Amino acid sequence: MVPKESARESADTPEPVEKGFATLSTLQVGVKAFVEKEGEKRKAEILAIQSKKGKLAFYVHYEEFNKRLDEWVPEGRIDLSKEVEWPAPEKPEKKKAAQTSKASNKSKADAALAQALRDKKNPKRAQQRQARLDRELSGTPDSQSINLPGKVSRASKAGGKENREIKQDKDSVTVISEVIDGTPKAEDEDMVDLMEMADAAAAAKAQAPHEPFSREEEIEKLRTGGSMTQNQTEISRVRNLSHIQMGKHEIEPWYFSPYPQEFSEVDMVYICESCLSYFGGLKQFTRHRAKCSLLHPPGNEIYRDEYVSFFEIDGRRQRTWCRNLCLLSKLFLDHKTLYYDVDPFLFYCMAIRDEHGCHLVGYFSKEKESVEGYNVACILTLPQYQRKGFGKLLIDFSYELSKREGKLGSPEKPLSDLGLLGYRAYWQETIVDLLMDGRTDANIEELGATTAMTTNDVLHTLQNLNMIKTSKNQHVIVLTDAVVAQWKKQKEKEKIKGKRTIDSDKLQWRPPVFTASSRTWNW
Amino acid sequence: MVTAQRFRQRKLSVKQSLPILRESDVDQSLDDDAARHIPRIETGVEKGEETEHHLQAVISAAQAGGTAAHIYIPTPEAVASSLQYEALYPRHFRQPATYIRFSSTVEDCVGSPYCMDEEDEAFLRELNAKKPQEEQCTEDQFEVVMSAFERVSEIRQPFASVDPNTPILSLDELEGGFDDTVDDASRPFAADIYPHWKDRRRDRENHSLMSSLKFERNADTDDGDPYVCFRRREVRQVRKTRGRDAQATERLFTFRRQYETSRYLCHLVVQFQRAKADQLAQDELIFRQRRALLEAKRSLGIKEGDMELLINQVKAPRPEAGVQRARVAGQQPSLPAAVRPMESDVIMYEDQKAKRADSIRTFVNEHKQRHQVWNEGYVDDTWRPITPPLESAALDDPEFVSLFNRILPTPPTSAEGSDS
Ligand SMILES: [Zn+2]
Repeated sequence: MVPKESARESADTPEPVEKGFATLSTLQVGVKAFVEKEGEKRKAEILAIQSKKGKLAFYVHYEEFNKRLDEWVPEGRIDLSKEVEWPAPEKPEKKKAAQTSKASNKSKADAALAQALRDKKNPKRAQQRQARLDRELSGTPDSQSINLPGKVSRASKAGGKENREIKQDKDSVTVISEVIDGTPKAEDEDMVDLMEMADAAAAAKAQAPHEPFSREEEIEKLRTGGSMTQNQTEISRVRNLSHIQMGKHEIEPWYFSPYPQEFSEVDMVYICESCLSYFGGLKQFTRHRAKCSLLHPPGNEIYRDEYVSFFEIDGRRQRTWCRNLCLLSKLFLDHKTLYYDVDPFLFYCMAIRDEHGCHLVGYFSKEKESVEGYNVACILTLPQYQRKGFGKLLIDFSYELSKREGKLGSPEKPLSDLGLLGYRAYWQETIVDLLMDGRTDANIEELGATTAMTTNDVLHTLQNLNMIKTSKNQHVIVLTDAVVAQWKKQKEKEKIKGKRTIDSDKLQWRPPVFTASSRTWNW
Repeated sequence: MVTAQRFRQRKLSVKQSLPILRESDVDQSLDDDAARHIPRIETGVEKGEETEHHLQAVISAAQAGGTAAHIYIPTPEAVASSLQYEALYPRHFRQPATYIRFSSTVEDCVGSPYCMDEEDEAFLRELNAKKPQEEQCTEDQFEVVMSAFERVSEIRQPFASVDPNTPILSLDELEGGFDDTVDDASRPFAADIYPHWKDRRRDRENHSLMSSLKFERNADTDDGDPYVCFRRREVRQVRKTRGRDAQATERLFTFRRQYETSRYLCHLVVQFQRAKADQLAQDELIFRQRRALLEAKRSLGIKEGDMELLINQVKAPRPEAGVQRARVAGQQPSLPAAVRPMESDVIMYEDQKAKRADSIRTFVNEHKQRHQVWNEGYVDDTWRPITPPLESAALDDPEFVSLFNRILPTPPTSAEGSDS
């Protein structure tokens, strides 16, 4: 899934880290520094640097905090009175590709310089190097592409491939980079000149750092970039949308989502509450609303009570809507992948109703056929509806479907932090409810069968609540005082507020059947 | 993780009924080793995230007794929007009594896909300023035309976004591709809007004016690009099984049989038409000869029966002919009893003899035919075949060669063959 990030790895493998004092100008992507957060100094990794009207801003990830709290901080919040950790140097065998190496500022500069000098002494070799690069670029043995108009200058192919500009307006540029020439700074000037001799690349890069990359350049960069993959992941580590407008709310996205690239330049992305289409401007959105006639999720209603409705939507039949839903939910689900298309999934969408229509509150997706027996792939309550009990209702519904299928189910892993808490709360309530019904013994497999939970999840819940103990060398289930107290509190709350559950009588649904041929032909 | 101590403990069985006790019923001194001896089940949260401060805070609060409901994971805020919800989302929804069933797609429900932005708005305002009130272009009409431009470009130049040298389509080309989504009221504005559209296309290097997602183009380069999404999955490998093979073979045989049948039918049609042509030729010949006869009669001064000679007489059915034909074919006479001559009541030796001979001949013929069928398509690959097929030509239609040739296993080479 998401490649392991170096920040995380360092916790497990205590490799010696290079520490030292930094100045604002030597700070670079990958550096871990102390950053002020709510009055406290927290260690944070710099993921991107942006310069705006002479001031630097840093996109930081706080260690031991969820990525959704990553943020842009002004230079003043970085504590330079404390030592910083420099990013780990690259393995020496990668030296050949000096420009792409992930070495520290200094060693990379050295390597680049050395290469430049070598090439200067041996122009023929430099030419060969160049030719080889070109060949790689064009994919044909005898490339004539270099001189073609419209083709990208070599500059951005080589020099710029480590860099990725994510925000561009007239006076700002963001660079996610670990190479020296990525952040044009005074002390790098000489270096750029030297590299220019060796490689036209760097020059053009330095001359036009503000030019937006065309798709061709992008492709070229991707094609040549040995470490582009890594760099690409860096991008997805930085949130790309700043705000979304949806229905009656404005929401701050939590994570990256692959909406159209130009959306990273707008302050607000407007999302239609009905069809989930996205717009970079208010006029466009208003026009869309004047035409959009959808009033509810585009599928069959399979459940309805006084409070909510559920709609079943087939990813293959409603590809646009489901893609829109996935893009939206990716803003709030870190581990969701949009790598593949939505065809093999069904989407169960929960909505509340009023005269305006059905408002999507949350959903879960489910594989049409899960080999691992998952009954949920992704699950999300939209942020504007969170902490209102909707999550539990969604989970309850997913198990209700499993019961109808006659299967045990479990959510796909990894769970998010919120996902884990939501499931734990649901599992605890469901199981303790059963154990409190007056029975004197219980069998884990049976508990699972009644609730459509896997034995593992039942066991996990009991274990996590410290409810499994041994008495007289025999395992027993103990209803601890804490668990009982919590159960009583819950019941009292339900007495006052009423209990929201899924009423299985109101579920009009039979498990959908897919033919062998639809399975073969990608659903 | 799993210590040796675990073996001291009885394993926890998920199938076994466990007594449920209250905390007060359990010996407090008893260690809760049990829990420790059950292998820890993973939380399902990624390792790196398990240690996050907020998650840990909530988890420990929950384990301490769950009294800390106020502890939660902080998330960025959702705030009320300043937009006019009522204006954007009118009250159009009436809930039907029965559950909603719906299959229209987003595309079906959003009208013309192009939505104008502020720049378009400015252009349209300028355009309309030059026009009299009754000839103004509405926003809807503007979008209809823009959508059509975009759609035609997409169809005609699917690779415009990859090849920057793709020329922007001309107005004529665009209008040529208009379909019925462009109503007659909108059509006249195409010429007004075209320069604006062209400028905007040029600014975007002839890319689509509508923000689009990045889909896969090239497997290698797209792989690490986080913006590339919704890739197609590789078609699943069909599992090869004996049953599947047999099914496929059976289906192929069926196709082949059906194909052969229709080919044979075509052949028969051809034969039929040829026979008809022959017949016509014969008729013509007959006619000419009769004419010649007529000429001859005339020259000889014979007058009567002229017309009869030139017109084909409709012959009255002659039962005798049937008898004769039947006799010729050596079959039993099948005459209606009323017209049967008296002699036929007497059993004639000749007849009996003929009948017998006939049944023998039929028997032989039948068997011959059966052999024919068995040998059909048989290709003898043996060197110097023992029995050369003789009679085939007589029975087979020489013009129709069946393609149903199945190569049968060749018998082992004979001693003679191996000698040479
Ligand atoms: Zn819409």
